This record gives sequence, structure tokens and C-alpha cells, in this order.
Amino acid sequence: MSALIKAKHFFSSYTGRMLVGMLAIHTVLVPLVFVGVLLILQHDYQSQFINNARSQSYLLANLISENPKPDRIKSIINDQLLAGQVMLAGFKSIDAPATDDFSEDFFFGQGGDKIYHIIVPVLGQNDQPIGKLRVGFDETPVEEHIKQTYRWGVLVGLGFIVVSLFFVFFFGHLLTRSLRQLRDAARRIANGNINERLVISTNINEVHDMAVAMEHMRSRLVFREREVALHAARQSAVLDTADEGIITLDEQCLIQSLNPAAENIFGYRQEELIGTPFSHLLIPSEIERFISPRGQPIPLSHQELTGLRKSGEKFFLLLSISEGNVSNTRFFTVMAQDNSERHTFERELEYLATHDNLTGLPNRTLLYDRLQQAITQCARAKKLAALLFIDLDRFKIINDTLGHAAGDIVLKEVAERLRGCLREGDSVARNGGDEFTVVLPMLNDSSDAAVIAQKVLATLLQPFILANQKFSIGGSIGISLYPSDGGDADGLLKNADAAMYQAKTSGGNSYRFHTASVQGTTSS
Amino acid sequence: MKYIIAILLAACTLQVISTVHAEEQRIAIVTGARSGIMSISAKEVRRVYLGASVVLNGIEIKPLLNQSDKLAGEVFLQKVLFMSADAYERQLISRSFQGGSRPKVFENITDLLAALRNDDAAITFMLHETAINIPGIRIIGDL
Repeated sequence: MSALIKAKHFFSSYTGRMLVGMLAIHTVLVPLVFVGVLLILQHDYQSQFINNARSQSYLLANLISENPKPDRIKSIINDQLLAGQVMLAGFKSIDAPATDDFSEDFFFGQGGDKIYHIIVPVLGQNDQPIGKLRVGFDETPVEEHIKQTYRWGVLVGLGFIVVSLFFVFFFGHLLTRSLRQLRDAARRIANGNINERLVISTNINEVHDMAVAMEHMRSRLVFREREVALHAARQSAVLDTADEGIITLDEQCLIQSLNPAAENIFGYRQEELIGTPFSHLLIPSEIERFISPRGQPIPLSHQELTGLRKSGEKFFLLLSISEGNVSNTRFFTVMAQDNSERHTFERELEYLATHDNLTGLPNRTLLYDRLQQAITQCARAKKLAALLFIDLDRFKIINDTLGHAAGDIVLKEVAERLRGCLREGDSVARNGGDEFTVVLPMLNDSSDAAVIAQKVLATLLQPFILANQKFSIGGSIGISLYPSDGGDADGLLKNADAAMYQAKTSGGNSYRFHTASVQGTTSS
Repeated sequence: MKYIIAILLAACTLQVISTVHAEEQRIAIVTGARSGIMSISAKEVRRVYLGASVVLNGIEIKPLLNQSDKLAGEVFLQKVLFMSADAYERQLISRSFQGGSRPKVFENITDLLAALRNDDAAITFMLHETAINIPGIRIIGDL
């Protein structure tokens, strides 16, 4: 710090200002007081001088008047001249010619000749004037004395100022010590050392009160800081343990913070994402759904988008964006949830709802749907569609003798064999129990259905090995054709079921077309 | 403060006065024209102004202090009382404590002359050259 800055700092302080104030007061008062005192002293010295001169002249005149002989007068005058104070003296008889060029002074310093001239009448007997005594007194000693007094006065005045300023500085420093302690304490608090108790030793009431108030403020700050820390810890714990990814964005859509769940969802570490655009976490084609043309996030609620993990894997992301404002600064909070599991679960549910749990084949519901599709497809293409209703023969025997587990194995094997018999585009479903349904779309002729039916019967006749034993079952198949046996799924199912019943009642292991085709029944 | 200002003014006056020597001054002791006091000696004047009782022609003299003319005052102090103004003031105070009376002070010449004319026992001093030009008073001493 330069001397100038130090000086400026000092004169900005309480002590410095007291010093300047005292200096200003002294500059006016000290000269005024000392000049006044010196003038009084000067007047007093001059007055004493004049008094001495006048009384001494009076005594001389009286002395001369006692015996006014010339020799005696001369002797008296010479004695006075030898004494030093009287510089000149003379007696002039009343009878002497008027050659008076002797001036007279009535004030000290009058005439400027440094001599105080007095003319005193010398009275004879009967108080009649017999002459004039003229005396000149030297003013120089008094003048020197006055000058000396002035010099001392100036020195004493300056000394007084210096000593006063020293005391002002000393007491100013002493008085402001407690203030400096307060300042240092406030700095320590500002620097975070808030737990240090503020103790100021002072007997100045105002400073003591201020210290007490500051200590109260500090203790309140400590309390508030603990509350804030506790609150922040709770918030942090909530964020850290939340299942949802929570990300804050600024107005430019840059990531400001994210919680561990968000790290897990996107596969990044926090430090990799802070300050990066949030758009990096989504596929480019969906960015415009949550970022406005001005580059700011668009608040949205529970929107499903496609997220992008660090590995490049895409996933279903459920996103909510809300806007907040703290201290006039806008920010956005993103709640992100990995929706992939839900999608998988939904797919599984859908699968379970449309497929047979044991064989994995479509169930009756899905079959119905596919049959409808086949009808639509064939109607458009003016083709035939066939529905094969299959009921296993002798399955009940296996179930009853070998148990349901063996029956389940047979059903699974049947499903596999049926799959192997079908063309691409054909569908097979398990209706329930030992009933299966096959949809054959886009047939040119009913004989195409018969071919498939025969193929199915053949594969069902192949033996099943259960508990190291061979078992042979068979099947009864009812066939209905679109459009001849029905224009809708219900009609075709009903007719195929009826035809299957005919095949079953005729001994099984055969297929039957619906009524109009009964004549075409063959047996294997 | 007043005292200091008075001293400052006196110092300024002195500075002006000190430029030249005054010629020898004569002081006149005067009384009212109708007064029965015909003459007074220097010693009597000194005594009466120092507070002593002086009776002339059966009249007890009443001294009046003329402070309307500073030079006249100093001449009077130098030639009659032989003391300084401060010493005279101390003397008067001392006399007051001893039961004496102070001469009445006049700072205005008009009031002083009126007092002289109204009181036959009253005397005062002024410069001789001043006194001879004032009607209604009589010079009873030339010092």
C-alpha cells in the first residue's frame, strides 16, 4: 500500500477525522487565545512601564523641588542617567527662554524613537511651578520583553497544538480499538468463521451495545445456517434417493445439476453432463418437442420421448419439464423416468393376453383377430380362407394315465408339430384344452385346405414318447371356408366346430369340411 | 472578549498616534461658570482625583472623570496623577474598598459639560486648547 493510500485510509478513519477536526479547531482557537493573552500581557507590560516612568518622574520632580540648586539637579540627573533606564533628562527653569523643541509622549512607542518622553512640572514652595523636568525613558527593554513573550507564546502555542494532537491521536486510537475489534469480528463472520463467539471488552456503552447486537445477530446466523444446512441435507437426500432423474436446466437449456437417478438413467457421470446441452440426451428428431425455436425449454408434462444413453442405446423416456424462478433467474426442472420397463411389461401383458401360456401359441382372442384379418385380406384379393378346427383324439387317456404334466408335454409337442405344417402367413392357435385352430388365408381352392389338414393329421399320428413309452394320438379336424361357410369369424368358427364334431363322431383321425363339403370326407 | 477587542482597538490607535510626537500638552482643570471655585492647585487636583476629600471655599470638590478624550486622559494621568491608567484604576478600586468614592465617569463631552454646569462643586480636566473654546465653563487650573 502506498503512503498516499495509507494516509487516505488513516484520514478516513475515526481517529484521523478527530485529528483533522481538532487541528481545524486548534488552528482557529489557539492563535485567537494566544494572541489575546499576548496582547493582554503586552498591554500590561506597557502599562507598567508607563506607570514606572510617570511615578519615577514624579519622584524626581519632587526630589528636585526640595532643593532646586543647579548642582544638585545636575547630580540627581546624572545619577538617574547612570542607573540606565533613563536615557536622557534635563531641567528647564521657568525663567529659561522658550526654545522648546522637546516633544512629549503619552503612549508607549509613541514617536517611534524607542524613548518615552515625559515633561513633569517641578513645583516650588506654595505649589508654584519653578521649572520643567524632562525625562526620556528607554522603551527597548520592554519591547524586547514583549518580543520574547511573543516568541514564547508562539512556541507554547505550537507545543500545545502538538501535544493536543498527540493526545487526540492516542485517545482516538484507544477509543476506536473496540470498533476495530468489532470490525475484525465482522470480517471473521463474513469469512465464514461464524461459530466464534464475539466478545468485545469495552466500557463504551454504544460500542458495548453494538457488540451485544452483533453477537445476537451472529447467534441467529448460526441458527439459521444450521437450519439451512439441515434443509439442504434433506433436499439433497430426497434428490439422491429419488427414483426419478431430476435435472435442472438454465434458460439456454444447459444442464446445471442432476441427481444420481439421472446419472443411472442416462449412463453419464454428473461432471460429464454439467454445462452440456440437455438435447444430447434425446434423439435429434424429438428435440423440437421440448426446445422452443429460441432455444429455451418448453414446459411439458409426462411426455414420452426417446432417450439416448451414453452407450448410444435408445430407450423410452417419460419426461416432465416445469419452469421455476429464483432471484429473478429462470430455470427449468426436468423429471426423467426410464419408461422401458413399463413398455416391456406392457408387451408381456399383451403377449399373455393373446397367447396360450403353455404352448406359446396365439390364444382364441388373437386367433379371432387373425381370422378377421384373413377374411379382410381374402375379400380384397378374392381368395379363399380356411379355418381348421382341430381336436386331439385320445388325449384324455394320456392325461388320465400319465397326469397333467404329461398332457402338457403332449400339448407343447403338438403345438410345435402344427407350426411345422403351416405355410408362411398361416396361423395356429390353441383354443383351450386339447383344441387347436389353424387359419389358412389366401387359398385358391378348398383342396389346399385339405392338403394342410392331411398334413396335420399325419403329424399328429406320429408317436409321442412319454416316460420312455410311445403313445399315438390323432386328431379330428373340422374345416370351414370363407366365404362359402361364413362371412365372419364367428360363423366360420361355428361351422368349423360343427365339421370337427362330424369328424370326431365318425371315428376321429379325419377331417371334414363343413356341411356343403361333407361328401368330400376322407379318412387316413 | 470585549476586553480583547478593546485592546486590539487601542493597539491600532497607538499605532496611529505613535507616528508622531505630541507637542507638549497643557491640561486645564475646569468647572462650571457659575461655580464658586476660583482656582485649584495641582496637588489638590491630585488629591481629589485619588479619592481624598478637598474643600475649597467651603465647597467639597466633586471630581468628574473625562473619558471622552483619550489623549486628555493620558496627559492628565501623566502630568497630574503621575501613574498609568491601570495603576489609577487599581488605586480607585483600592480607595473604594477603603470607603472612598470613585469619580463619576463621563464618556460623552456633552454629558460632562451638562454635569459641570449643573453642579457648582464639580470639576473635571480637559486639554487646555479644548477648554478655551467651550463656553459655560471656567478654567480654574492650568497644569
